[in-house]
Amino acid sequence: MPEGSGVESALWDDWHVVAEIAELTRLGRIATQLLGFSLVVELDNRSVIPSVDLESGGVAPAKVKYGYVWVCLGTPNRDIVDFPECADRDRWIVNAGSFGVAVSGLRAVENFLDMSHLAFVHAGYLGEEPHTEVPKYKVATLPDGGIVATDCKFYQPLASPVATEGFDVDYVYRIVRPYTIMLHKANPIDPSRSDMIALFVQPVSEERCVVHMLLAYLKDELTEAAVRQFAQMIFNQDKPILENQLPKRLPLNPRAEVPIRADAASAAYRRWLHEGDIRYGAIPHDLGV
Amino acid sequence: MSDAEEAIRLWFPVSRCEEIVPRNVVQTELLGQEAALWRDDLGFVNAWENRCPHRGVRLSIGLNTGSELRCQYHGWWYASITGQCTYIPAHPGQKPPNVIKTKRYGCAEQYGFIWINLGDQPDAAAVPVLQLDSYTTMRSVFTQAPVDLVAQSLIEAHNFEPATSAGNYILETTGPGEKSVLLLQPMNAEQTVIHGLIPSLVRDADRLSVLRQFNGRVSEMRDAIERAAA
Amino acid sequence: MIKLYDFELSGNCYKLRLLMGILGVPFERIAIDFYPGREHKSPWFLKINPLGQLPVIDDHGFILRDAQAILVYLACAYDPSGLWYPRDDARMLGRIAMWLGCADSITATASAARLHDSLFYDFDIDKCRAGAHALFRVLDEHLWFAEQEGNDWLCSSKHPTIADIACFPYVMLSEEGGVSRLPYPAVRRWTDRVKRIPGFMVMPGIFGASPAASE
Repeated sequence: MPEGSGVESALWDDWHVVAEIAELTRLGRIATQLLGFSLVVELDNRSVIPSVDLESGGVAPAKVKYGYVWVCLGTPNRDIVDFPECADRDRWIVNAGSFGVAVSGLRAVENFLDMSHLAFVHAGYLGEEPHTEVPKYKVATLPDGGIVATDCKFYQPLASPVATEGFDVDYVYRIVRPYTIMLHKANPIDPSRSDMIALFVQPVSEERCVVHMLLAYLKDELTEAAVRQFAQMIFNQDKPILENQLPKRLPLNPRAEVPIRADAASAAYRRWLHEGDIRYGAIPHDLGV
Repeated sequence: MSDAEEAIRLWFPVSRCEEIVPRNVVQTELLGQEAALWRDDLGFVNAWENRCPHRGVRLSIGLNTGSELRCQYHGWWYASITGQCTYIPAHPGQKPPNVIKTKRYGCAEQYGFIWINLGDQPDAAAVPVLQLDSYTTMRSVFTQAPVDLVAQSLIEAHNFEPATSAGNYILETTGPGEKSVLLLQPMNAEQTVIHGLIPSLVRDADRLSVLRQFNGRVSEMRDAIERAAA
Repeated sequence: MIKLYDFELSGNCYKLRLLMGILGVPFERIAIDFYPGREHKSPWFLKINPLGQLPVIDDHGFILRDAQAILVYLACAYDPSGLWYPRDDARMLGRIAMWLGCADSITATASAARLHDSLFYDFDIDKCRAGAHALFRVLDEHLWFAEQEGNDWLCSSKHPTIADIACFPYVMLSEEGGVSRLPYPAVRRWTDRVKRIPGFMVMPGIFGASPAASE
């Protein structure tokens, strides 16, 4: 842990999205916050220059990838997460916008992983009553660290902008970093391939985050604008739920918020955060009941 | 015992009874704890901690169906009176475990108000006793100031005095003439609700003008208190 | 068919979808990439609305901008009952105009706070929130006394008007800008009543209400 930052190395020495490059190009300069520290990113001759209000005086390393500006406040201990789908020529690679949310980013990640809210919060699109049952699915840990949930099936009336009727959609969720989650979802036209949605959550503070969405959707019959509008609508249905969660930080003690079988993935996520001693945005075990 | 620990054991008014309307959920806050208040179709008023035991979502954004409250997030049902979870849509064939229930606060209806108690052993007999043959409740006024400041200001600058032995949370006007009673709800360290009543029944023909006059007076005091608190 | 230049997350666009839905007026939505694309400031859109603002409607060539103005037009043109905008009642028209003005003030405060918190607009957030609270305080007192007089709606009538539709969205979305509605119980009861108007529809950020108890 770097002296004085108070933030665990797993987050401090990793890359985080702080802005969309298109937005930075338009504005020239974006002031934001990351892990409680004020940060300014500026565009100078097409190179991105971040400056951080650190006592070390610091200019932090920055990169541009997947249409986003990534910053590491410490010493990068690994590369930016890889999304091979983004190289596919037959996909729209869409930055669907960045939204500020008044809740811990860990709550936002957990919500994205959650199937049993789809029939209520996204009624008419990603689920609908009476198709509320969440069948058993598999949860495992990833070799490089993280959580994967497979064999997830859920009935969706309008699963994507190209869907015309309801069907059982296959999902695979991967949590690859504490604040990064990706979803592969069977494509309605070619079920052998999947569309990908990644959520890069910028921990602004322990109780506030910015959700950056990246989508890699097969192009058939779709426009980039339709992909973006759909993603924005769906996320903004989640937003009032997230902002009404009490407490705003994610409690890691399983006794703090009672889980059921359908929450196997979220329970595994909380356990993984606990075992990895991730505390930023969380309420640790000993404080959590 | 600190003031805060003492206050947890007390009953406070949190809403006029008639404002807990059918098929609605009221969000309130007492001593920094949020509560969801809702009336079932038989008239019973529930006062619950304002979070779903499952994932912490405020129950006050949920749906009052008349017999249960449904959480907006995952559609879980919580029965009136017991707070027991009776249905989990993600597992529709299974009976929810008995341990899944909302945290209930002590709740009583008295003098036209809903009173709640955050303590572990609420005793409805401990709701403060006011010597009232009849009463008319007034509009409750939210104030951006801590309860101590509100009480102090009402006593020192606006001719109120404690109406009971229960301290400065219930005040009445000093001197002769028709009394006004103010009941303070400490929401949190910054906000207080001033509830009010007059100890008489008002004729229908006079009701609106009495309500307006009272509200005007309390609002003026509120504005003065907020200026002092700012 | 009426064309609505629309953005899903805009409360001012939503109020038009809401009224047209309630009145049963079919319309076509033309989605504008307001965020992050800023298409409302693009040269082609500025020809439709030089102010670069949403919403705009195009009713068979009749183009009109400004959410409140469009509500007036839609009610006059498409509400045969005349109840949403009672054209022959001078006092009602005065009250409606007053609350339509208030709706614009709510946009300038509560909606601005939401744009700041959610979409990073460079506004003075404390001022926006204080302004919203000052308006909500007035609204709550007004609605409380309306209830005491037996009126459910903003303009002292037995039927809702376009004033209710105009004020509703950014009141409901205020918490996305950090403006809690906890201190405004009469406002909360009024928003539940709006949600129970037949034909009511939601937008992201606004949930529906449970059905009213059968009488």
